[in-house]
Order: sequence, then C-alpha cells, then structure tokens
Amino acid sequence: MKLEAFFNPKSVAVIGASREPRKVGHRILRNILDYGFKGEIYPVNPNAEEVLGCRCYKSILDIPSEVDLSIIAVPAKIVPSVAEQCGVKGVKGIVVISAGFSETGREGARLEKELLGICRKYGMRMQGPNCLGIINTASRLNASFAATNPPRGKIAFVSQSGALGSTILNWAIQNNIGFSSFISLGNETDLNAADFLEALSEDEETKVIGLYIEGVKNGRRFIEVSEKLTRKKPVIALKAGTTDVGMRAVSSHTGALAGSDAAFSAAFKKAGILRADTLEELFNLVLSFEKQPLPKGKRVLIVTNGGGPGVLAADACEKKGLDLPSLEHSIREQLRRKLPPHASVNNPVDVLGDADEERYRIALDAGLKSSRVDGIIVILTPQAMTPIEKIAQVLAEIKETSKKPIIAAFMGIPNDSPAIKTIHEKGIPNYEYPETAAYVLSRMYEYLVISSRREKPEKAIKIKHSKIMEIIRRARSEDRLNLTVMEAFQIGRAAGIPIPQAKIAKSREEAGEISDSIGYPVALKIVSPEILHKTDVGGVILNIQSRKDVERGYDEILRKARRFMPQARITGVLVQKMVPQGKEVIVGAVRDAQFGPLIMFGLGGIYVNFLQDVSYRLCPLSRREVEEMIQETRAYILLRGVRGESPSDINSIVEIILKVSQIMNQFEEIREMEINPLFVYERGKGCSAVDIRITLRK
Amino acid sequence: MMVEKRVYIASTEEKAGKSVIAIGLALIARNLGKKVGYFKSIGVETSEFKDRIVDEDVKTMMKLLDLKGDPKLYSPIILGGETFLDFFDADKSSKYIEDILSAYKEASREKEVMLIEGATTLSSGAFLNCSVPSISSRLNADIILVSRFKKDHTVDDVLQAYDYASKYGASVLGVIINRVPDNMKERVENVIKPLLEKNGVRVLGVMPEDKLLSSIPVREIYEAIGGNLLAGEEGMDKMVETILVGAMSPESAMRYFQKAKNELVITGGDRTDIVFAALEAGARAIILTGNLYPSVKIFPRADELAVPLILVPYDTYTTLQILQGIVGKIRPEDQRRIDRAKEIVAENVDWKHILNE
Repeated sequence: MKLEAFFNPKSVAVIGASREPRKVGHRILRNILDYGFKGEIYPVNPNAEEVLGCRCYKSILDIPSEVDLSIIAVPAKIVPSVAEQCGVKGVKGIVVISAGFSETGREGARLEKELLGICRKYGMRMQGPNCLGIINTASRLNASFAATNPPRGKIAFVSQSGALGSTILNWAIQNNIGFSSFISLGNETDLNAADFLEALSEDEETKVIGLYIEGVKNGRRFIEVSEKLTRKKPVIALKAGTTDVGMRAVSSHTGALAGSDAAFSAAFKKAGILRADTLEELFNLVLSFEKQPLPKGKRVLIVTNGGGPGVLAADACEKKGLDLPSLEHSIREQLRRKLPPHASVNNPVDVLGDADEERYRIALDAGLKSSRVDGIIVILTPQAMTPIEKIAQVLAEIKETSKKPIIAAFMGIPNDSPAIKTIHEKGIPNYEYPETAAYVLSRMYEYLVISSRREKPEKAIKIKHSKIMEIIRRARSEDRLNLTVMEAFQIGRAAGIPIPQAKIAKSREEAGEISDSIGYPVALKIVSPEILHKTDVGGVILNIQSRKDVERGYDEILRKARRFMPQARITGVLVQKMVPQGKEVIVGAVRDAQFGPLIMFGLGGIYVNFLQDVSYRLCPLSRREVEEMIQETRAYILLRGVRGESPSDINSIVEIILKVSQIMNQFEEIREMEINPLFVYERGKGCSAVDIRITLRK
Repeated sequence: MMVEKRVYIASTEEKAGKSVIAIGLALIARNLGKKVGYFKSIGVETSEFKDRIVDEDVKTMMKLLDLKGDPKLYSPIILGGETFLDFFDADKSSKYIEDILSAYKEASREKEVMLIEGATTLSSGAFLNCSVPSISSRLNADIILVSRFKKDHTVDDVLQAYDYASKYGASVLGVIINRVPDNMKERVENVIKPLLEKNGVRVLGVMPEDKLLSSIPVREIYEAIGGNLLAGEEGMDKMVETILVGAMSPESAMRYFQKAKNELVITGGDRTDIVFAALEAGARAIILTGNLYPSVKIFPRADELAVPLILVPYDTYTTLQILQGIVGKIRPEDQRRIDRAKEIVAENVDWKHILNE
C-alpha cells in the first residue's frame, strides 16, 4: 500500500510528548498507547526521562532503532529543526500536528516553505501541518488528539476540517459505526487529499470513503486519482462553500480561492464521486455503503406494516428514479396464500398493522427470491401488537444470506433500543424516514452505474492547428484578449464547426456588395468590442431580402449603436448569410483555475441568462458525458420534439461539444469560448453556429 | 543671450498629455544643443499628501533640465486643490501678473528655448486674468494646443479653444492630438485632420495612446497614497494600467478581473474572497480600504505572486479619486517613461516646426 508508513508503521515517535495532560503531545501519546498500537512507541522530549510509563528520548537521533513515522507536536518555530532531525534519522513520514504555519500569515508561510524543503531534501512525506492526525484501526494506530477511539469498520474518512473530523468520530461511536482510517489533512503542504485517496484505493480494510473538502490543491490530479478509485470503491464527498457567502467563508478558512461550484460539481461527476449536499446525507450514505452490498439494478421492493409510510416510500422511490416492479405471478400467488386476505401483495407489500415477525419473513423471502427485485426497503411502524425485537431478529437472520441490499426504516424507534442495536450489529442500516431509505438506495444505484462505466477515449477530431495558432498569435501581437467575431468564426471553421458565411462591412456600399456576393437573405449585426448584447441596442436585423434594405439596415444599425452606446468603438457591421431558424442552444467553455476547461451546454438565445438551464462537464469529454450533459437539461425535452415536432439533430450537438472540448484542450491560450446561439435542425440536418465569442487568457 | 523660441503648451482638458510633450520637446531641444528653460505660469498642487507646495511637473522638469534654485521661481503661483479662491485676492490681479512676469524673466535668463506650461486647461487662472492666452500674449509665446482625442468631438474642442485664444489675440501655432487608439488613427488622418485644416488649424502631431505612458508603477501609487504595505513588497515595480473596484461575488469578480490587463484592484479589507480572486486573476496590486486589516491568510499567496497589498484608511471612492489624480504623472527618476516621452514626441510631432529648426 502507498504511504504504508502512515497507515501501518512498525514504529512511531511522538516528538513533543509532554508529561502535561493538557498538552496535545501528551494526548497523542496516550491515544497511541490506549488504542493498543502493536509496533514500537518512542516518546521524544528533551526534558523528561519518562512519559506515561514509556522511556523518553532527548532527540529522535537518540532512538537506537529505526523509526517509520514521527508525530510532531512542538511549537511551529522549532518544527523545521525537528523535521531536519527526522530526515537525518531516515524517518519515512511525519505527521505535523502543530499549528502556526501559513494559516497564520507570512512568518508561518515561511516556516511552512522551509518545512517542505526539508521533507523534499530527505524524501520524507508529510501530513499536515495544522492537523488532527491519523487513525488506522487495523494497525491499531491512533496518532491523533481526538477525544475518542473509533471502533473498527470499513469506512475511511478524509477531512479538510479537523473539528468536523473529531465530531464525526463521536457520531460514529454513538451510531455504532466503524472506521478503517481517519485522516485529517491540515494545510496539505506535501500530502494532499488525492495522495491519501490513492493510498486508500489499495486498502483492503476500506470499503467506502467519506470526504469533507473545501477546495483542492491540484484539481487535475484529484480527478485522475478519484476516477480510478471510484471504479473500485465509492467516494462520498461533502463540498462546503457552494454559495457566494459560503465561498467567502471558505476563502477565509482555507486561505485560498474557493473554486466555482459548477466546476466542483463537474469534477465530482467526472471523478465518479457521489456528492452529498449535507452532513446528514454524507452520514446516511457511508452507513449503507459500508454495511450493504450494492444493488444490481434500480428495482426496489417495499415491505411495510403501514399503508401510509409505504405510499410515502413509493413516492420517494419514484422521484429518485427507482422502479417499483410487481413481483412475479407465482411469487404473488404464494404471498396471497401465506398472508392475510386483505394484505397487499403488490409493491409495496403491506403485511398489515398486526404483522408479526413471520409475515415480515414471508415478504422478505419473496423479495429475495424474486428476480425482479434489486433491493428491499423494510418499513416498520410501531403498533400496539408489533413485536419489534423479533422482527429485528428476522431481518438480522435474513441479512446473513442476502446478496441484495436491505435498508430498514423503523420509524419512531429510538436509536439505542435493542431492536435497532440488533439490526445495526448485523449490518442493516436504519433510517428514521422512508424517504431517506429511498434516497440512499438511489445513490447506491447511481454508484453501480458509475463503477460499471467504461470510458472509451474519443477519437481525435481533425483541427487545423496552425490556422488557429496564427489567429491567436496575431491577437497576442496586437495585445488583444477578445478575438473579433471573424477570428472566432475562423477558429470554429478550423475545427469543422458549421458556420454561416459572413464578412464585415465598413460602409453601406460594402455591406451591399457583400450581400450580393453571398446571396439573400442576410442578417446584419453590429460589431463592437464594447457591445456584448447586440439585440439590446438594436444592433441586429434579420432576414433582409434586398440590397436596398441592406444599405438602409446598415445605416439604421449604426445610428442606433451611436445613440444607445455612444462610447462604443464600432468595428463595422457583420453581413451574415441568413440560415433557417433552428432550436437555439448554447455551447460554452471556460477554463477553470483548478480543474481546467469546463464545458457548458444549455438552452440558448436571449433567455439563457434568465433560465439557467445549463449543465457542465470537465474536459476531456467522452461521448457518453456529452450525451449525459445534454440529457440533464430541460432543453433536451424540447430537442426530442414536443407536440408532434420532429426530433432535433442531437448527434450534431454532440459533435460540436466534442469539437469545443478539443479546441479548449489543445489551445491553452483560449480562456473562454461561447457559441450562442447554435441553431439545431431536424435530425440529419445538422446545426449552425450563428455567433461565436472567444477570449484569450491574460 | 536671447530666447529664440517661446512655446506655451496648453490643453483643452485635464490629462491631455502636456507633460509628456513638454518632456519630449525639452529633451529634443537639448539634444540639438539648445539651452532649454521651463516655466509653469500657474501650477497645481498635484500630490495631496506630500510636498504640499510643489507642482510635480515642475519638480520633474527642474531635475530633468538641471534647473537650479527655488521651485517657486519656475511656478510662482500654485493653486491648492479644488478650493483655492480664498487664497487669492482677485482684485489685485495685476500683482499676480507682475509676479509671473518677473519670475519668468529670471527663469528664462540665458535660455534659448523656453517651454511654458499651462495649468489644467486653457482657461485656468482666468479669475486672476492669468489664463493661458492672456499670459502667452504678455510673454510673446506661441501656444501649442494639446487635445486629448475624443473621437469627432475633438474638432469642436479644438475650434472652441482657438476661438478663446483669438479673444486675447494670442498666437496658436497648432494642435497635437494625443492618445489616439490604434483603430482610430485612420479616422484622425482621413476625417478629423482635414476638417481642422480646413478651419485653419495646423495639426502638429497625432500621438498614439501609449501603454507605458498611461501606466504607473505600484511604487508610485504607494508613495502617493501612503498607507501600510502588508505583503508582496517584491512586486512594487510592477506597472498598473487599469484600476478596478472589487465589490461583487467572487465568481463574478474572477470574470471581471480576468478581462482586465495589468489591473490594480481596490476592495474592502474584509473581502478575503475578492483578494484571492484578484491574486489568481493576475492583479498587479491590491489596495485594501477602510483600514480593515485583512485575514493574515492572504499574505503568503500575495508574497508568492509578488502582488503588493496596501492597506489604506480611505473608503473605496476616496481611494479611487486619489489614484486618478496621480495616474499619468512622470517622475524625474522614471527614466523608462522619460525616454518613452521623448521617443513618442520625436516620432509623432512636427518638432522641427515648433522649435523653428
């Protein structure tokens, strides 16, 4: 396993192991001792002979044998010298608990840089600084100052917040949830989230990973590592700072720019990470992923002893995209025979309010036997005659042999009651509400799809590379960031994007000549670096049929532009071959500082800014991702055709998006690109990029 | 020795580029072996925070031309800020005119070429009967009008200035149209210049907008505005071209900053998010207003990218005003921009005609 020295060290030194119980160094040593670490433990403290019954060393260099991992809890100022000694000693990894680094300003940042330099010099890896520590339950290592010792389990938790980390540990104990590893990332000066995720992907003790993050250090690597990891095991992430206010808070917490939420969502999608929106969702998900097998599909059987909760669960399943199939005829027959006559043998199976454990067993057996069921939600409402514990016992027995996920919703029953304890111990998660159970199952199904997807790399599309480079170089030499509309069109054409014929006219006569040569009807559009919304200033006239009207239109556009935007520099008027009106969509791309090119698709035209019907993905895009991003929008419904319309040429949109993706991938110089509108025609008739804007990077 | 040539550089409006032209002409004349003098009939207090008495232009020209003595000799009257009427007795205008004439006599002693600069506009000093045309006739100097390009309005501005000058019988040698963007050059040559010439205006030069001359090093901003330099000291020599105010959401800020070049960002000291957006977008410097000490977490990144963070007590609006006052001033130690001024004047202005060469 990668980072073996952190997860499974043979020997650990605690530098700054104090005799003072209030000190962090003391607490860490005690945690290591209490938790029963099997390897060697060396406290280091120049002023003590012995701490907590262990022999103490003046310096790490005095320790007679090898040290794999050093936990450092000394004042920030002396951390570099201590780390240097660790380097000399040949320590493989250090966990710097101490705070007082870049999070405190310039002097701290200097120390942090120095510290990183020392690590690099000795090839030593570092977790932190400014972290809570690391816990690995398999190797019985609790090198943290957490107040509790977590039980062993299959959940690994990686957190950018130390405080949240220790809270989660407490919560885990209360809910009888076990961990494989717990990692507090701290400032991520050397090792970052991606490094630990990579290591955890090979960790057999870890079945599911929970992640709390506010930002990432190296976006591309984070995605690469996670993409591989999520094929093997689920990662559930809670990303904080999704609103403007939240982003401000993230900036002040992490000391970095909070990335855009659209980019993060796209990054998670690309990486196959399941995003939780709340801490509660995160908890609920890790719980089921740890304890239950994955469903093989999205068909759910609901078993309930109350009609109302069953209906609520059915609604929730439907909304989350799960199916509620009827059971096979033969199985229904059996149920009919074994259950009371007024029990429902459809899905939900209602075993009635007076149900005992046997009725539950009958219904559950049916669900396990049925080839139409992929997972089961078991609802229990406590009624006067309900033998709760016995039913729990039945669930526990059935779970032993079940290969399908069974999720319980025992409603209104305290967590510490014997029944809940029984099913928890047997690995059946219980949620208080049936909607939560449905939510969890739907996310499990989502993960099934993610883990089984195989991305085919897209064939490279032919692009006239030198042509595009030439345009970019010219703009650079003229010190321009915004390309002209003609340059943007040329780039589009160089990538094979269909664009109506167009030319810029500088006089009314020229406008007329151009129109004559490209043929009528034509459209006229004002061209000015200052005018972004052309229609707002009356800068667009469509469908002009004659030379006379073109010349009149030319004058009118200039007059309006001068009146509405007297400051604007006017380059000329674009004369464009009028193409038939199609469905208007928008394809955009912007280079995200953390994750690289972010591609956007949505409904286009003048409504795009108001409806926000858009979806995002990160480059490089596969055909599947492009199809998915189109399907995510409401525009998709229109594109499929409504009220007898013929469906639009969605394939041609896919091609355009792939081309934009490739342009963004190949030309780092381009910061932003937008095709708006892109006219889409009936299936087989392609599409046409009516307007393109391109901005270069600074 | 007699003064052979007296040139009075005046403009139609503020920030037209008089100083650049004065510097350029001064250096060209000196290279021709001329003894060059400088005089500013009415100065303005340019740096509000230091050197309360001296006009920055005068300081620069004295240094440049190695002129000795009291700065007052070269600019006998200085207007302080925007409210100066209280400091002058308008009834005694003849006394002020005398002051100007006698100072000029001293300043022009043993000089062959005298460059005289007006205050902000042609009419500055009119309240003391000391407007540019009125003084220029007394000094027997030719006015060169510097007009900041304002598209077609340029024509009106220039013609009005000519009208005004003729009222005093002043002689106007011609006009220099300054700060013309590249894409407008053609229009100036083909439309504006011919129209002016038709109206009897000689166009002495058409100068392009120049990046270097219209930008300013962070150090000068810091010196002018004062405040507290918190981090990023290594970036003090970076040049600022645009000034932006950051008061939006961090995402919009990022887009806004990324479209600007060599920008200085003004934002509240508590807007950590805007500061990070500005740093990542490549800002040249960041001014934090309201004396709100920022989160220390921004310092390391500012140091790393060498972006000065300057904390000032003023609000954003005041900060912006102060900055606008100093942009475009050329300091005597700023050799790069002094060289550029000379170059741009030599290339684009008919200095031979102006200097009678």
